[in-house]
Amino acid sequence: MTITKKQICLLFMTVIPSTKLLILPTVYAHYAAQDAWLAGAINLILDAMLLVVLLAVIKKFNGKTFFEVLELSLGKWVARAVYMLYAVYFAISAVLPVFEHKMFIEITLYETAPSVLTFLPFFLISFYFSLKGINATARTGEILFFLTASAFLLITFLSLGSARPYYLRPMLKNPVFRTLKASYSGLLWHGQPLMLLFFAGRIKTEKRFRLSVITSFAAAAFVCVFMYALFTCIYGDIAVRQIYALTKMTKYAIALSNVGRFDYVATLLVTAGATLTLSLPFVLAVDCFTQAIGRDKRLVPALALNLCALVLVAIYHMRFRTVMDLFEKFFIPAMIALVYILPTCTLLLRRTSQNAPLCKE
Amino acid sequence: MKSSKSIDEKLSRIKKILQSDDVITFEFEVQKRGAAVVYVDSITDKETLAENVIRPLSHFNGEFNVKSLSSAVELAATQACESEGELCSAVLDGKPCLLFDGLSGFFSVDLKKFDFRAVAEPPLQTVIKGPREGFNESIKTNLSLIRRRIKSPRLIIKNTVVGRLSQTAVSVAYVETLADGGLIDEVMKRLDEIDIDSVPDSSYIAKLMCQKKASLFKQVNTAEKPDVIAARLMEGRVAILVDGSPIVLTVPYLLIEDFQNPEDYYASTLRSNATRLVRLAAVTVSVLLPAFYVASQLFHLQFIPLNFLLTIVNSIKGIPMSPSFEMFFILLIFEILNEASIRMPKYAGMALSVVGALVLGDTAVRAGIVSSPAILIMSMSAISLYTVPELVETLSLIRIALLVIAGAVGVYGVILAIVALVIYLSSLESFSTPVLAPFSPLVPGDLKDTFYLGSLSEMAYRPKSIKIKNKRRYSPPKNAE
Repeated sequence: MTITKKQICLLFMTVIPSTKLLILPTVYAHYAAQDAWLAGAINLILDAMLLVVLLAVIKKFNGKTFFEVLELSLGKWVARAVYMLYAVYFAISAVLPVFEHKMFIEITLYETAPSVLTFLPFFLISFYFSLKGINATARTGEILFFLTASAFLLITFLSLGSARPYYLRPMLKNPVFRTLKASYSGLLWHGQPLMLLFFAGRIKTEKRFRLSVITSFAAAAFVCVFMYALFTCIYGDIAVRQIYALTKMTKYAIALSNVGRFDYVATLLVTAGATLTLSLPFVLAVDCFTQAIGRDKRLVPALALNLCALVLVAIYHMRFRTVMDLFEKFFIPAMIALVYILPTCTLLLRRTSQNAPLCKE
Repeated sequence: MKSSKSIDEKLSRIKKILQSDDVITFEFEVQKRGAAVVYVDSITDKETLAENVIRPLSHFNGEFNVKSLSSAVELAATQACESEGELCSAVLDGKPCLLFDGLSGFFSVDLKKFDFRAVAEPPLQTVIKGPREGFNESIKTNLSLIRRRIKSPRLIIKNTVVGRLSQTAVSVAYVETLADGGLIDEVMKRLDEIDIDSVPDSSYIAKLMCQKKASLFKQVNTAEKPDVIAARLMEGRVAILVDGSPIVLTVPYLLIEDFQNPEDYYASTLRSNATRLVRLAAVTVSVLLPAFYVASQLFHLQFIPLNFLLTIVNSIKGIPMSPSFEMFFILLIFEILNEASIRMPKYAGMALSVVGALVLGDTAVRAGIVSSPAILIMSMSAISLYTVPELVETLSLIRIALLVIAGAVGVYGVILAIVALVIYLSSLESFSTPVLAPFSPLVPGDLKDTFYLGSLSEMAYRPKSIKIKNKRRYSPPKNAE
């Protein structure tokens, strides 16, 4: 089964904005104040650069999977070790957004604090995704894109009226160090273009592939930066206290007082898209693990991984801050190495007769 | 077994196979030699048999061989039989067989005479505008209704038989220049693989042809109207007709087909677009409204506008049941009423309406067992479901599942269940075609006939979601602006 250009584009446009509007705008606002959008933009530019590198890798070794490229250039065991490393990376990277999402669901959607069991069905879905694999995930993304897009349209429509653009001024006056610090902390929510590396070898050869993927990423990035700016425009200096921007942005809309909180419809639709985003690292972790051990059966790794995450969430469900601090301290450096540096190094691998492209793009 | 020449021997062997009392053997003479006709009393046109078969043969003066004898019969539909087994099959299919003393061959004459329902409007696919003909239980009538709409030599009908005992005639229809060869082969292969004793209805074939046997959604579509089948054949689909069933199957199936009513194409485009949106809204309401109502009452009061919340609070005061149990109770009552109204004799229908609407509904509210908003919500949900009658069974099951989830986990559980449904549907295929097409995989050109319906001239190409040989269906006039 191959993944089409359209599926990748829609997956990007669903995955990139759907989890970046919960706590992240507050994290950016905490360090970068009115330049929060800039901190977000820096990370998105970094991701765009990663995307360009990955597209170059795909072009260089067209038709080959990342595993095959590593295997043919560096040997089977190195390829397996690298895949195992990525399996661990994806498994760990899945944890923080899940914690964040759990808190978001419990605080914004429920009237009284629900039991920890309320969120646990999420792991059934992520298990189902992990079991079905990348292709089913990409196909689901096509449907969920429509839901996410309509949700963002509704949020924008409801919140534009409350925006005061002068809250963005004075622009670029925040110390550069603080803006960079904001970007560094926000990096935990980025790096999604990496998935492209693991789609390599399964992508259907189509015209204008690179242009379409870059355009879709740019569109998704624009939505994110626009939303950060809009959030700052609504709350100004107190943006830092408004966690879960998604539900906060719309609440001053006049339409809501007449009709009721129908803005929750947008929240629920984004939640559907976020389910896919949160499950994607699980899917990729299972994919990498099965490749690393050289077996096709996904059931056991998918079950084990989701059970581990479930236990972790059930035990530490009230410790989001601690988990985030831990991630900031230890995980970001590892992330930079695995998401941004290692794929760039792949570009340096020499193209031999064995790993040469199967066909021209 | 090869047949012998003595007629008595042949008849005794045939009688051993066809022991039933309604199998008649009539013996007569042709050129002073023994002859016999074997037929089934209840399914043979005896008048024509006597007038056009036995009489001409009794007066036959030509050469005494099977070929000449069969040409003496004043009917075109004669067929030579090679063996006694073939003869028995023909007899049971309403084709009397003729045997002659001293000749080893036989021949059969097609004189089937079954009593069928007349061609009438099907109760499930009624239209205000458009053809009203519906299929009946005769495969021949059904094929003729399709042929009347597609008078092209490219319309191919392939016949086969399914059912070890029932020997049910099954016809596969497709347009040669449109339907994909792989699809036709796959249909024929799956039909050949069916090994069952009898096929009472086409739904048996539909179930046995499915790849995922325990699927929540169907993988083979059905229709009861020849105009619908003709339109589907023109989109490169394959139709399967089963003798004895007024429901014709078509493959591949796309989920969106259930939202496409034949009338949409006959009415004005604007009206049809509005109707399709209403249908989509109705399905959403019918599946989600009870679940959201229960979830909102239990976990998310902030979802309900204040004025409406006050109304609900006043209505549920003193109700002994929890919101989810209350909704279940009403749903159960509705399902019982629904089932009873289908099975109950028509003359008792009025009494059922009175008992259902007045006694159960009104009295239950007055007695304080259930609240009025709950009854209102369930009624809206129940009525809305019937805007897409083909999906009623599936959606009612999903509605129950969502109700359970909403009562246990709240609205987040409902969202997760919807995502699970999307994953499930995304990986479901009908004869190698994804059922969620043209949404997943996304085929932008085909979106013109989904929840938005383009004008006829906009749909110049056939759906690309289905593998097809010839894509263009409409060419605009060359001088058109």
